[in-house]
Amino acid sequence: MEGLDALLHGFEVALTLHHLGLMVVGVLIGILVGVLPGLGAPNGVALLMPLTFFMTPVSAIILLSSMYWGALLGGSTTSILFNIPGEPSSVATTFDGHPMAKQGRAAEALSLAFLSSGFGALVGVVTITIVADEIADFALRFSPAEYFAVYLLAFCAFIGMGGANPLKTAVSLLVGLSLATIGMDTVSGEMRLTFGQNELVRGISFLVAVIGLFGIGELLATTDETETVKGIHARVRLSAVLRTMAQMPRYIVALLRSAAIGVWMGLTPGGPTAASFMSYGVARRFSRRGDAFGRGEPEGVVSPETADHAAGVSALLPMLALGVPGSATAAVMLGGLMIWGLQPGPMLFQDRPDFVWGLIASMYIANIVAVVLVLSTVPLFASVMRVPFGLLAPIIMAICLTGAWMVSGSGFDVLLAVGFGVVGYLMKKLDYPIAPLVLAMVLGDKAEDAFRQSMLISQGSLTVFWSNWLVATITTLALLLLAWPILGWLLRGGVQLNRRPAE
Amino acid sequence: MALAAAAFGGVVVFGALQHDTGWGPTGPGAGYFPVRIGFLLIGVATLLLLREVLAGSLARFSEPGAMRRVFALLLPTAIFGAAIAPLGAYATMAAYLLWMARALAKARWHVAVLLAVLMPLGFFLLFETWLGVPLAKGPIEEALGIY
Repeated sequence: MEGLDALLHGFEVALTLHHLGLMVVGVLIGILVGVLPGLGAPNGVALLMPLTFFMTPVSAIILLSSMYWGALLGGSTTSILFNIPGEPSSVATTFDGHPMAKQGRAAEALSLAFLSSGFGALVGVVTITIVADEIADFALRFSPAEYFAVYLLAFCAFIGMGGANPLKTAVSLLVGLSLATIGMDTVSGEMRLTFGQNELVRGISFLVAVIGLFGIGELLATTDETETVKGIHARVRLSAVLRTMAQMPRYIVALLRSAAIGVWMGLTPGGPTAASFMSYGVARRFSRRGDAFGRGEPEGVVSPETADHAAGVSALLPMLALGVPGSATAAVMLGGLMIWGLQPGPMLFQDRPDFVWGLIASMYIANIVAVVLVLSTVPLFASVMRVPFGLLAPIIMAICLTGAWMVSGSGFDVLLAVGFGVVGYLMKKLDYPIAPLVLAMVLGDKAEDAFRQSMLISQGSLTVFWSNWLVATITTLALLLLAWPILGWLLRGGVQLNRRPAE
Repeated sequence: MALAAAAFGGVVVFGALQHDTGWGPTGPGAGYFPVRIGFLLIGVATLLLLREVLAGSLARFSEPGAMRRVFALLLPTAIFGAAIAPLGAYATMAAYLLWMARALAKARWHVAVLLAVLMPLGFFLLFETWLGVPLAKGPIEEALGIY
């Protein structure tokens, strides 16, 4: 019952007027960010990050995580109404959500999406509450070798299960790892890869990279596409919401299955995008109405949405307990934790229980706040999409560049963000996933440190990664995941499967 | 893209070779990790390039009209970004928004001017007054004496 006490204490932290206000603000900004093209959850969190330096870490994480929930919901709104996924993780929602809206069932589709999101989030946060302490205790036994193995597992999981071309994912990861080594070496103090440039001594901030890759790159990619926006007007009435709510038990199988998939993909670093696709695919295969999928089947909305949110929520647990984020947004938040002076990992649970449990408690409240807010503000935010893109794009650009400036007040960072924008645009056009790059940038230093420490312990022998059952299991699992695409390729007789890029 | 990645890997290897890539007094040297990452990157990128060449899929990148639209957005933004540090954020933002609203969105004058005035003003109130985060200032802001 230790966990329950901690959770109650967490509610005391989260249920102050100040924090409730932050949740509302966070959720509203999040919905806006999710609705706007070119501003996604990782990018929005990165943009808000400089503002949080003036807050206590608890307030900061509550603001940022609330924004994340808002962004996930906002992304589904545009998926359903405009057939434009505001977030990569809501791509699967367009398959059935938009057809539903076209059939005049927009309100039903939206309510379904939001309610199942809420359900997924709830399952995710309950899971976190139950297993948080166990995972933290488990992680206390980790030595550097185990940590490196876990990082390796995260990287390999992206390559093996990310859904994008494995080679391209690998390139993206390796570029991120290289970028992470730029600047002063944490062990020897040598300047690495700076080529005598003073601006590079501090290293390249992952915030600048995220703003450029996700924000500016996304905007450039949107300009590239010619398709015009044809939205569907929708007003969600309370009666429609209640009617949908009464229907929810009908989808209980889909809800539970998708929540389980989502929680699993969030805890193991698969991320919400992979979770929503997987959940949609599984639902289509196993549903009795599988044939109706893609033509406006409610289950096709429920499944990806539930999994999306369950994964988004549970992705925060490995970030807190192990320092390994389960999604791109969690990766940005992890970077934030380090900037606020908190060391993610099992010790966080012992040193800062107010922070950890305040966050977990806030997830219960903020998700409810988010669902209520998004239901009541859909028409308002949908009207934002009717502003011509030519006007919207420069405004978002100005916000992005200002955000890049605020990271450290340097003009070089602003130019760097523009440069990353071009890279992000090219990556998007050529189907290179961006999330692994960000993940690698945030984790690169820690992975390298863990690697060097374990090499030091073992006197340079790689066998340290198989020295006991724990590290051996993780390492082997990681290598198996890495080999997964090759195995699959061999099994299919050399026919390469090219799926949509993940996140 | 694969070529660029391989080239980047080359730069990483080159940079890493300036450091101790082997076994130093404090364990693996500073270059130990990056040099391996760099070589891996070159390897993977080469594989990718080979596959693309073999598949003959070096198709056209995008239709010509799209590139023009992208540059119409990218170039002014790059200029705006470069101008923030020397000229200050507010005046350049106003100019940038004015230009974009007129050239890209073909908005009417009063919309464009309204946007170009309100947005920097909003930023000023939000960041300088409320949050106390200074944005870049340049000679124009100085002349107006707003800080």
